[in-house]
Amino acid sequence: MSTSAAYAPPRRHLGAKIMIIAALVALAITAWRFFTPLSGVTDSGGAMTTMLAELVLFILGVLLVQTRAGGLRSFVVFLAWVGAIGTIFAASLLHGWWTVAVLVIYAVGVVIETFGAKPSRSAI
Amino acid sequence: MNGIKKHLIAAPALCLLAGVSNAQADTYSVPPPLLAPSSISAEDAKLPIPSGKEWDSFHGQLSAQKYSPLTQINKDNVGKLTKVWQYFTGDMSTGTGKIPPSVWSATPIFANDTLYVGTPFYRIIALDPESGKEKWTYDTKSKLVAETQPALKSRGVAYWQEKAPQQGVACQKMVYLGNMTAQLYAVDADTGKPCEGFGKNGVVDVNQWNKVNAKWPLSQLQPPTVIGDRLIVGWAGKDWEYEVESPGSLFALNARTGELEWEFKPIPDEEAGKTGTANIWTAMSYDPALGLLYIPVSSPSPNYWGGNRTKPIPLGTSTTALDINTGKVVWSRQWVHHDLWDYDINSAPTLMDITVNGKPVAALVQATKMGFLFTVDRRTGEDVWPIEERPVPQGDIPGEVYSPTQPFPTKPAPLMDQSKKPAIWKIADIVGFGQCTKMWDGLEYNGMYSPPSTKGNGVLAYPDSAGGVQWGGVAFDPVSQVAIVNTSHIVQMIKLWDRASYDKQPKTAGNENGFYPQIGAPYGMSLLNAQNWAGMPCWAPPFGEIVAIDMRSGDVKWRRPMGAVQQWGWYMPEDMGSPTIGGPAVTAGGVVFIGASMDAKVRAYALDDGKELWSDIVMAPAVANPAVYEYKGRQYVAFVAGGNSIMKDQVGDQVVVYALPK
Repeated sequence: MSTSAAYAPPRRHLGAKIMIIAALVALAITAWRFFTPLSGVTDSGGAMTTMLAELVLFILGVLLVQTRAGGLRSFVVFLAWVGAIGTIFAASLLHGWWTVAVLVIYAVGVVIETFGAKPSRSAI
Repeated sequence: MNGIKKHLIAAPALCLLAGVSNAQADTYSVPPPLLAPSSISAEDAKLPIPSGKEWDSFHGQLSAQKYSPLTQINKDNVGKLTKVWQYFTGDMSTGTGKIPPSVWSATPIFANDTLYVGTPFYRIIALDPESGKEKWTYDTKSKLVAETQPALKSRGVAYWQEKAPQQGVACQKMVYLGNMTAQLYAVDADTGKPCEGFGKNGVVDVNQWNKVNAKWPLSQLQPPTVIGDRLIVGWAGKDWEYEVESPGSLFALNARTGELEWEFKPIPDEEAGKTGTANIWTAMSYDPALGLLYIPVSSPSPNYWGGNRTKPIPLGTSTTALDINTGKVVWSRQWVHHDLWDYDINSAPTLMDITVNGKPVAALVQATKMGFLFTVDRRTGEDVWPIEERPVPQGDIPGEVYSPTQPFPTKPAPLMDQSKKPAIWKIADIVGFGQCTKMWDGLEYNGMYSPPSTKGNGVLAYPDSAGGVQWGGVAFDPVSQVAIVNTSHIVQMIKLWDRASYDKQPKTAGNENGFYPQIGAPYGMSLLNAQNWAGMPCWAPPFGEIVAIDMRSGDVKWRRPMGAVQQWGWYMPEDMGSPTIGGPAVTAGGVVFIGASMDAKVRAYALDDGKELWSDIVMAPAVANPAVYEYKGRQYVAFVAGGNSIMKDQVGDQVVVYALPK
């Protein structure tokens, strides 16, 4: 019988799930503003860049669900922090106040992932 | 020139020539102001306070006050303003296809129970003022080619009607629209059908009078100014292209027939073969009691070198008063002597009756690109507050002459501090890794009116030719005697290039930004925005403001940054303001309406303290004055959101109208 931990209990990844949902909502709002005439940011490069950033935030959330403790996970958390702050700033420059609110929720998800219980490193 | 000598008082005692006879006087002598006597008192010259529900000319009234007496929308309820209709003309172009980009700066005209607009594709559209429903359209079928401009441009239409129009008789009321190729069209205001009796089948070819140095058509981009039964017609040209070009001329046409009644030439015939322009390309104003037409005259050509015009051209870059019946000069004030900066006088002077030191004054305020507001007695051209001739920097370009002095108003204070080199915006400098500091170090600047230079990065121009006040001009509330004006703070670099060096430069000419040949002159020139690699302005904000001036004292009542810079959709903080093109309208309800900002918003400010009360997003920067009108008991505010590439590449084709909810 192995002495190492052969089984890590499945984690709920609450923070990462918040991040995924918040990123999708933010993406939807920005896309709506991008495509809607007279939104103030219609067809603008800034809105497009922000949408790309929100897509990246979504991917980071998905990665956090997939990754377990370790260097890669820490790096993804770091990217999520940088991405969240940068995207909140970009959204605020677009005067996308609903987007900013949703991205603050995303940041709460990042906080949970950063300071909450870490997923175990699985061992065989 | 049309009998100027007869109508001038060449009174040296009245001339502000102190200090003019200095070292440069042997090469350039400053022309004295041309003043006139007046037998009409200021009281008798008083303009009636506008009382109508209409907005039937470019600036609302021929006094150019842009004032509406309507009070239904006021500072207490303007926050509830809602969009009641919008109309998209379809006439716009980003310039990415075969059609050049569009620039649309039209003020909607409300007359004959109809809202009329003219588009940059040179169509006239008549709209129901209540619903925006199309009544009729007229297509001039103009070629969509930007012959004299970097873009297809229009500032809209003009309206005229008989004193007592007969129902059912065609062309008792007419709408006029010009195009890039100098054709002026007249159509019936009720039906949109051409008025056969106007010119040839409803069209006057203004270019028929383009007989001297003709290189391009006299583009009809500004609607005629309608005074009585006359159309006063200026034109726009290609004034950065050549040294010798069409000399400025102004035409008075019969409003019914289009026949020429008189012509005015700002450039003396003996000088016209060496230079050109000094045209009148913007709106004008008129005082019916005095019978005086006030015209803002632009600079002679080429814009940034004057070695071909070393003799004074006294009416260049001036405000000049003409007798409306003859077109002869009554008085004139030159605001830039020997203009080397393209400081065209670019807006209709605003006529206003003010009380200064307890005495009534029949005043005229001329806003300028320089950020100065010159205030004179509109009867005589004399100063209201002293306008001083002050020494200015001299240059060293071979063959050039420099005016030793320039006029500086003592009141109102300049709209920006042009007396020193503008501060560098530190954030732009950091982002540019010190690029702004290096740029500033390589720019000559010896104060206001530093002349164009061949050295280093050239000379710093602040405000530049797109800065200060543009064609929106000054609005005025005749009750409180408060004037409202929006201004831009823009820094550019002007550099002269000797012909050989110029020919080696990559030529990227845009709208007020790029390289321009000045063909025929020994120098080409460049005019470039002072920006870092990221396109951030190198100068410190604010980039634009709206200012209220108490005209009883000439003091600033309030001022605030206006609008926000917007680039790629991102808004900068509003305390930085925005460059502004377009202008305000003011109402008896205590509200100032204005678009004009880069962020494509239209706004309402409180007249008494400048507080922002309302805003809405429109399709593109509203680079025109709004119109305020009443129809069937309801007050409306109409904007055209058309954009202007001087600001940014965002074009629009929207007419948008607001009112209080029913």
